[in-house]
This record gives sequence, structure tokens and C-alpha cells, in this order.
Amino acid sequence: MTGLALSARGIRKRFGDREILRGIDLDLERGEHVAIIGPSGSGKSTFIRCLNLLERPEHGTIDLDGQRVFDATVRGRAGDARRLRRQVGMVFQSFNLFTTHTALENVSLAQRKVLGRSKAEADERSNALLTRVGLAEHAHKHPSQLSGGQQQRVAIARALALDPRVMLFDEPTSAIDPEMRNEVLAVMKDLAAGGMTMVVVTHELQFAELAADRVLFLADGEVVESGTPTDVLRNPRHARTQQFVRAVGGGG
Amino acid sequence: MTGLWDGLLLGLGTTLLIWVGAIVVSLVLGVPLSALRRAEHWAPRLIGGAWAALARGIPPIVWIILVFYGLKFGPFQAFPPLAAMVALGVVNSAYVGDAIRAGLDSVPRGQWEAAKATGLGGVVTMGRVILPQAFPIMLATITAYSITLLKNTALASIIGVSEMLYYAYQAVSTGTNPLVAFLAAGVIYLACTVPLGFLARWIETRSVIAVVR
Amino acid sequence: MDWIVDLVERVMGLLPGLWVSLQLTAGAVAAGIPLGFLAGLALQRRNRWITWPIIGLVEIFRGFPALLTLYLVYFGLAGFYPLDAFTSVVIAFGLTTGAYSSEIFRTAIASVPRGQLEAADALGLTSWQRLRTVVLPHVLTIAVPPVIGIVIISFQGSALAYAIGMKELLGSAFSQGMLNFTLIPELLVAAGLYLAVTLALSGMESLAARRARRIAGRGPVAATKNLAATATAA
Repeated sequence: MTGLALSARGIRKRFGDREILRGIDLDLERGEHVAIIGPSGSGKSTFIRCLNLLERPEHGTIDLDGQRVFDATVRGRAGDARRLRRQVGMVFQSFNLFTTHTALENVSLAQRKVLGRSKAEADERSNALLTRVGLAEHAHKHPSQLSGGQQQRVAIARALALDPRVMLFDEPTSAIDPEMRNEVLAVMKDLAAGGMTMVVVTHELQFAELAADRVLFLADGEVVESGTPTDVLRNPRHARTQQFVRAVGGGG
Repeated sequence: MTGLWDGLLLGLGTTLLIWVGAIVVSLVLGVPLSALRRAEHWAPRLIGGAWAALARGIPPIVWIILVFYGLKFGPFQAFPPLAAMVALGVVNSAYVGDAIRAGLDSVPRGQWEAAKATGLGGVVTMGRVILPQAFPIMLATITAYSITLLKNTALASIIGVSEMLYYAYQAVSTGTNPLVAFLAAGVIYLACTVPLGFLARWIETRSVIAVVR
Repeated sequence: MDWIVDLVERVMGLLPGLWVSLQLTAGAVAAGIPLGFLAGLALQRRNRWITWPIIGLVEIFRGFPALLTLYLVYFGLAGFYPLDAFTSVVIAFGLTTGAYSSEIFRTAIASVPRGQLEAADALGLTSWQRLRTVVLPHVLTIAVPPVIGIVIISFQGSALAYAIGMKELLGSAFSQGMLNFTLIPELLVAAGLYLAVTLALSGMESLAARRARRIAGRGPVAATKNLAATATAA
């Protein structure tokens, strides 16, 4: 394996005249799990969306397994972003399942359209994935018939269906009722244990502490502090980080 | 050419006359209809529902012809536009009734209850508390349906009422180019309906603000 | 008991006319709905050169009484190319229906939740694939109820074809009634038939609305709920 699974350098992004990301670097080893935490407006969602080019940075580069897949100075071709997205899966805060399709169809859809698998092949894989996230019996239900936690697990299965090398999670449990968050976190822990390279933007500091190899604290578009969970969450060095951990940690 | 425009303007007068008449009829019928449909008991609700179904389920042109040929006495014989007014009024009453009902229903339950709790009588409650809130919404919807009503007045031409479309038709049968005649009539219709449309949308945006406040 | 036999006889006598009405409706809808869909799709663009002409045409055909449009096509275009009554009705009502339904489709297409579009992008689908697998199913599901509303309006509008001499339901009732001096009874039976078909279609509309709410959620469906009603109100 060629070293870094994902390497993002100098990522800058502005919306109008506000600079949301002021130059962020991230190097991810294969199988590493990075948690990104920070206050609202810090740019964490924007950053993770830059990693699969749902947002296009004005400045910076992204490499996947040593290959340059994005360079802000080079005008990309239409298929570039698509190719990147086959390797990088994303799970959204609001699940974003296709409501007019069943859970099984949701997971099979991209396999057939993007990877060209046959219906039989795709459905077999989808059933396996749904079983893995604990939702095999719900395969023929529509998203409106599923709870938030169930929908998010289907969303994870859907993203995994393309066999991505990196999985991105944008606040995966923020829109789920507390009682149902654990089922999603369990799936994510399982995925991590299996060696998936993961970047997770989250408010769940306990999860970050238990499952992450590294924690990045983002504020005002910059990485303020970075290190092991113990370093950042238990012994933060910067005042800003201390402030944040105290405020969030207190509430639980 | 001036003959065409003269005719169309004369026709416009009749068009507007039928329109206003039908609006009046539909308001007069719409109020009791809305009361029927908001009743506690199932029987008046059923009657109201049946009335609405008949008014909406039978095409306006059929209503006009039924009223015209069916009520062949006195004022209807002497004054054909009356038949159109009544027929179109009946059709529109279903929509008006629905608009009134929706407007009243949109006022939060709390308002009715608070009024009762503070000892305000029925009429005062209606007049001072409920209607001011319900009215803008009712008005927006009724204005929107009035536009359809205006267009439906053209159907009266089929029973020989000399409104705008009738004059256009006559002009064509006496040699005017059909495209010219009908497009001219169309322009006048647009001159009426487009501003009404803006009015309806304007009322709607203002009523939303009023309710939110 | 005689009146039942009488009623049945009258209904049977009017069935050919009803059939013509249904054919007219089908023609108008077949012409108008695709037009409305294309207009709704085109109105998603921000380019004024595209949207303004379409809005203009939509306002014109919504502002003209349907009967006027019919005369315009039947008498007006007859100068250039002789049109039979049926074709005229299809063209005229196709334009009217297209204008009304454009607003329905515009709202439906715009109401596809952005998140689902992003999810499609994140999975690497092309724009075309996204249209087919996410946009279209959503639009077809939530646009069906108000489109059925438009079908009802078209069906009632088919009665106007009587004005250009077509033997649809109203026309048959009229001519048979005049022939046998039983105009009012014939008209009443015809009215009843219009009512029956309208009620059946309304029932379908409610079922479709329930299904749409179940699948697409309350928000998008509510947005299209009043469109069929206000569509007729210019």
C-alpha cells in the first residue's frame, strides 16, 4: 500500500466574502480513524464536503493513495469528481436516502449505475450489507417507514456498497434521537474495527475518545489543535480547545 | 376595425356584469354552505358535501344550459345573463364556501377558546376576533377563484348572451379575420385576469404576514 | 319502476357521447401533460431568455378562457390549415392543460430534496442518472394528484366541444333532448354522468395524494396540494 490513504493540503474555501476554511491540512494513513470536532461555523462540515468535492476549494490539493485527484489550480474534467466519489463514500447528517426507493434499491442503485453490476449481483451484495448493519428484514421498506437510526444505517450500507477506500461521516448522529444513536455508532465502531479509513465530523466526544485514533479540533476555519483523543479531549493545550471541551463535555 | 373594438368593449360591460352578479350569488350561497360543512352534526355536513360535489362535479357550461333551459320563466326568459349569473354563482359557491371554511379553520383553536373564556359572545367573537384573522386568507383564495369565474363568463356566449366572446364570434361571422377578433378579445381578457392574478398573490403574501404576526 | 328503465335507457343513449368526451380528454391530456412537464423543467433554469418566453406563454393560455382558445384554434388556424373539430380541441386544450400543469411540474421538480441530489452526487452518479433515478420518480409521485385534478378539469372542459358541433356528451344530450322534447331530463342525466366520472377521478386523486404523502413526506406534497385548484384560477 502506498502510504497515505488520503492527503489534503492547504484547503481554502470562501462563500461570498467570508473565508470559511483558512488552509487546512489532513494526512490520513490507511485504516486510520480521524474525528473532527469543533463549534458550529468552524467549517468542519465544509471541510469534509471538500474531501469528496461536494464543495470545491479555491485553493489546495487532494491526493488519494498517492494519486493527485484534485488541484485547485488545474481546471478539472467533468468525470474527475465522479471518479473520486467512487473511492470516497459519504454519510450525511440527514441520511438523504432516496425516498421513492426501498432500502434494498437504495443500496443497489449506485452499484448498478456506477459500477455496472447486474441486478442480481447488486442485490446480493446489498442484502449482505443490510444484514451487516442489522437491517436485513427491512430491505423492502421505504425510508418513510424506517426510524432515523435505521435510515442512517441504510445510508451507511449504501455508501459501503461501492467498496470505497475512505468513508466520510458528516455529523452522522446529530439528527437522530438519543436512544437510537447507539445503533449507528455501533455500526461505525464495527466498520472501524474492520480497518476502514474514516473521517468523522461529530459532536459525540465520547465516541471520538473511544473510536478515534486522532482528533482534530477546528475553529474559525483552522486546525487549532490535533493529537490523540486523550491529548485533545483530556489535556487540551489551547485555550480555545479547553473552552470547547468544557462547554460540550459538561452537557454530556 | 373600430367596429370590433366597440363590440368588444360593449361585451366587456356585460362580461363584468355577469362576473359581479355571479360573485354576489356565490357569496350569498357560499356563507351558508361553509356553515353546513363546518357543522358538528353529520347531516348538515352531508348536505353541504353533496352541494359542493354537484357544484364542482358538473361542468359550468352544463350548469348554464340547465339553468337557462330549465328555468324558463319570468326574469330568466327576459334577461338571459341572469341565468349565467345564477349558474356560475352556484358553481363558484362551492369554491367560496370552501375558502370561507378554510379561512375559519385556519384560525387556531386557541382563539375561539380564549374568546369564550373571557366571556365574549358569539357575534362579537366572530366579528372582532375570528374574522379579522380569517379574512385575509379567505380573500386571497376567493380572489384567485374569481379569476376563473371571469373566464367562465365566456361560456354565456353559448346561450346567446352578448358578452365579449359573443361579440368576437359575431364579428368573425360577419367577415372579420378570426385570428384578429379572438386575439383582440384575448388581450382584453388578459388585461383583466393578469392584474387580478397579481392582486391575489399580493393579498396572499400579506395575509401570511398577518397570520404570522 | 318505469323511471329506472327510462333512466337506464337514457344513460345507454348517452354512452357514445360520453365516449367521445373521454377521448377528447385523453387527447388533451396526452398533448398537454408532456408540454407542461417540459415547461416545468425549462423553468428550473435561471436563464431569462428561456424562462420569460415560457412564463409569457403560460400566462397567456391560463388567462384566455378555454373556449376562446378553442375558437382561436378552430377558426383562426383554419385559414392556414383546415383542422377538424377533434384535432382543434386536442390542440386548444393541450395548450391550456400544458399551461396549467407547467406550474405543477415546476414546483414538483424544484421540490426534490437537495439532500437526495447531493447523495446521488456523492455516489458518483452522472447528472443524467441522477435525473432518472432521483428526480423523475420523485416528480412523478408527487405530481400525480394535481395532474389528476387537471384531468378532471379537462374532462369538464370537453363539454365545450359542443360549441364547435362535436357530438360529445353535452352535444348528444342536447340533440337527443331537442329531438324528443325531453331536453331537461337528458341534460340531467348527462349532468349525472359528468358527476360520476368526476367523483371517480377525485377518488383516484385522493388515493394518489395519500400514496405520495406516504412516500415523499408531507412537505413536498403540501406544496402541490393547492396547485390544481389555483391552477384554474389563472
